[in-house]
Amino acid sequence: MFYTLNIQNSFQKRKIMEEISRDVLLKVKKGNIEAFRAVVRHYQGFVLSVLYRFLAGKYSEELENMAQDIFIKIFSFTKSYEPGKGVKFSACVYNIVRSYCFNELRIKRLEAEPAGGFDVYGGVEDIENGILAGELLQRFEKCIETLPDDQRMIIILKEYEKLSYETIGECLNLPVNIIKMKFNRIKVKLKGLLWPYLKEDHGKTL
Amino acid sequence: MEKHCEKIRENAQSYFEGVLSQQSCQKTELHLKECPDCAWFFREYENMNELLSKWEAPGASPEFEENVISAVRKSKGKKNRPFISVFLHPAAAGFSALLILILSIAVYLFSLPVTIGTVRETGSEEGPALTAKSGSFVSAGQTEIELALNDGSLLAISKGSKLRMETFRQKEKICLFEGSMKAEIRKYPGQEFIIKTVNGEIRVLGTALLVYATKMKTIVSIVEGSAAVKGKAEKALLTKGNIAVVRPGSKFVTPVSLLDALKDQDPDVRLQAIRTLVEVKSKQEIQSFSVMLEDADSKVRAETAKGLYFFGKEAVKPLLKLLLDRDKFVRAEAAGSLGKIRAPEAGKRLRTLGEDKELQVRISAALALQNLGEKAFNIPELIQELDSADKDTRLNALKIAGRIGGSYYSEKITEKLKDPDNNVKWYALRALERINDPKTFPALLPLLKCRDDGIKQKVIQTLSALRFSEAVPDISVLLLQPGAREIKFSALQALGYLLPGYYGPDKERQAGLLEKNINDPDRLFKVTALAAYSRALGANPALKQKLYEVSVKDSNKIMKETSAEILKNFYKQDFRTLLHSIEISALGKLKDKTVVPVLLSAAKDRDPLTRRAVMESFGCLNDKKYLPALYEGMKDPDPRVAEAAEEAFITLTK
Repeated sequence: MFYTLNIQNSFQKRKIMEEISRDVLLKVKKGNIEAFRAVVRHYQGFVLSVLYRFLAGKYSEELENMAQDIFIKIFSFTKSYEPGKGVKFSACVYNIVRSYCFNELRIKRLEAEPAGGFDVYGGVEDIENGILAGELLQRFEKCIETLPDDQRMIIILKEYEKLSYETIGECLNLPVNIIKMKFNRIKVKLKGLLWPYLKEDHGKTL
Repeated sequence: MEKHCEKIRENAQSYFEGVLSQQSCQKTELHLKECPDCAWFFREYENMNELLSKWEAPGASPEFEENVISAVRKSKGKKNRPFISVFLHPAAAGFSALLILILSIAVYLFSLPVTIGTVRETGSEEGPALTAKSGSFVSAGQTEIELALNDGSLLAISKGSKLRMETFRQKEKICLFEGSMKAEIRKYPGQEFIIKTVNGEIRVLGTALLVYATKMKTIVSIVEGSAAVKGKAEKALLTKGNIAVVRPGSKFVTPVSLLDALKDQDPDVRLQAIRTLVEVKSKQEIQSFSVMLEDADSKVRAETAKGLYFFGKEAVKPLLKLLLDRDKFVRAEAAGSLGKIRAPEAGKRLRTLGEDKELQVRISAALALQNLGEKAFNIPELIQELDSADKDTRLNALKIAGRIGGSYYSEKITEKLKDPDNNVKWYALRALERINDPKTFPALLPLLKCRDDGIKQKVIQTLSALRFSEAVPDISVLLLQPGAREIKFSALQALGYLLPGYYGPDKERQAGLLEKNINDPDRLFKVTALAAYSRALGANPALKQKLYEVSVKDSNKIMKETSAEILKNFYKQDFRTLLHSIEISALGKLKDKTVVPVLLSAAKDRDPLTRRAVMESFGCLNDKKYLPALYEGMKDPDPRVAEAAEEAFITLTK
């Protein structure tokens, strides 16, 4: 029953988002669309994955369109952005993505029928009865979906995008300590939500 | 759970992230070996991390980058669209529709004709006035007219001329003109008055000038100030005493002095030069004038004769010579000028004109004799014309007969009181007022029952001016009947004038009627009745008592002031004269348009105090219609009157 320390593999893969070069931003600022390609290439992974995870794959067909909208917003924002002065460009991009996601979700919720939310515990019962792996992932996504928007955003930015607490704090306009505390709490909460799956896995890893 | 365990578990995330210090890491691992619960927690935590890491997001499609770039390009191209799309929003569309509606209404209202001033026949201040509007022609047919513009300018338009005001805005006033006129344009800083004629245009800032415009030429001469005259190409500045002619196709405008213009080949230029010389009023020019008496053109001679009156007695001799001229207009104008000069030595010669072939000359001579204070000869043609079927002929004859006066026409004019046309009736009344023949007075009384209020008022005024006291009962009846305000006002006034000469048995009752009206709720009647009562009673103790009562008890401030003022002058010798000026200033303070006819006739009063009160009243009334009266007032010989007129003028034009 000893716990082995083979834990940090996933964290080894941490990708640290580099700042995009000032020259490129200056070109885009002047309206150079070709230079904008570099920005798109740089942020497309981030934008798409945040969108996918935050909207829980619900609107997967529209995902790329949404990402396009975000990039148009980033492009028009760049025109008024002063590189090298004040806030980092990446922080601004995170902010644009976050506000877009929150906005989009709000609109979608208004449009959607006010149907009852996903019944987590009903889902848990099904899992106990044995369910296929693909379906399990779906259930897991739905579990995450039950978290409040800001908590989900913290999880996504921290867990998947590997942003620092400081960056997330800037993005959500909250102090670092609070973000840190919140993240820990969310993880514990999530553990509570996901326990049936963990039980399954538990056997395998042990 | 122990406190230690709780602390260890809090560090779980940091532990897995590998950011814990080596010491804390060792501590945690040690604890996990000892505590199975925490080990369980950590294992689940790790499983969860693994599960979370399985949730992968799809990558971007290969064409994603290209799509984004083309979308950005498109959005850049649509830059202007948001502005238009604003109007597609229902609220914005509604708002812009409303805006367009308001704008079009404003444009429509702007293009509507504006009142530019009032038109009157020259020399009839109290006669009927018409309102002139922009965009339509003001034309002088048989008589000369005066157009008093609302900005204080005065245009004296000669017979057969026409004028149309195109725009009448504060910054720019443009009029089209054909014919002959004298224009006195008021000066306002930065405002231009433009007179357009067939051949050119005259830009004026504030001047008195004469304009003569026909299709063949435009002649401009300056009496005062300066004006820019523009022909086809060139522009020239004219100053006082200059004259310029613009002909079709003439490129240059050359200003010429008036004396040179007198020698011009063109009779029209000579004519204009003479007119201007009279207006400029330079007395040294009588020499040049005498030269013009032998001018080949009859019109020029006639104009010279007309202008000669200006030189007074000096001109009598040449004028007498002109009475023998072969042209009728010259003779008529010469007779007219002699009348104006009031040269008694001309009486004999004027009388001989009674045998002249031309009616016009005879009329002129008769009018001149009337001016000299002599009895005029009779003109039978006028009597015939009074019976003419044409309304205008009748009117014209009435006007002339009224001015000539004499009992010769009075019978015929009395007949005209029954004329179907109200205008004829009105002028017949005026003529009778001038003739002042006691035989005609009773004939006026039936007109008091006339349906037309204008005529009714004129009759009351005429009766009062003629001091026909027997009309008192008939007029006081009007006070008791329901009727127009103007009628009651005139009746009250008339009673004031007529009662002193009335000796009927009901004199007391009539005076009581006036006294009763002092308590009328309408302040116009109150004031009028107070003045009339004071006038009717004269310096009487009963009046003193009443005045004292009013000055203390009356609720109206004007009434209190007026009665106090009358009391102040109670024992003065010229009580009735003073009363007139007090009455006028009290009426003026009422700011009531009904009193205007009274003010206009009082403007010719002999007493300067009354005239001053009239000018002040016009200032109180604040209506540009009365500007001509103020012009007259400004020329008043009494400085007090001129000053008051000047002040009133400033308030009006402001």
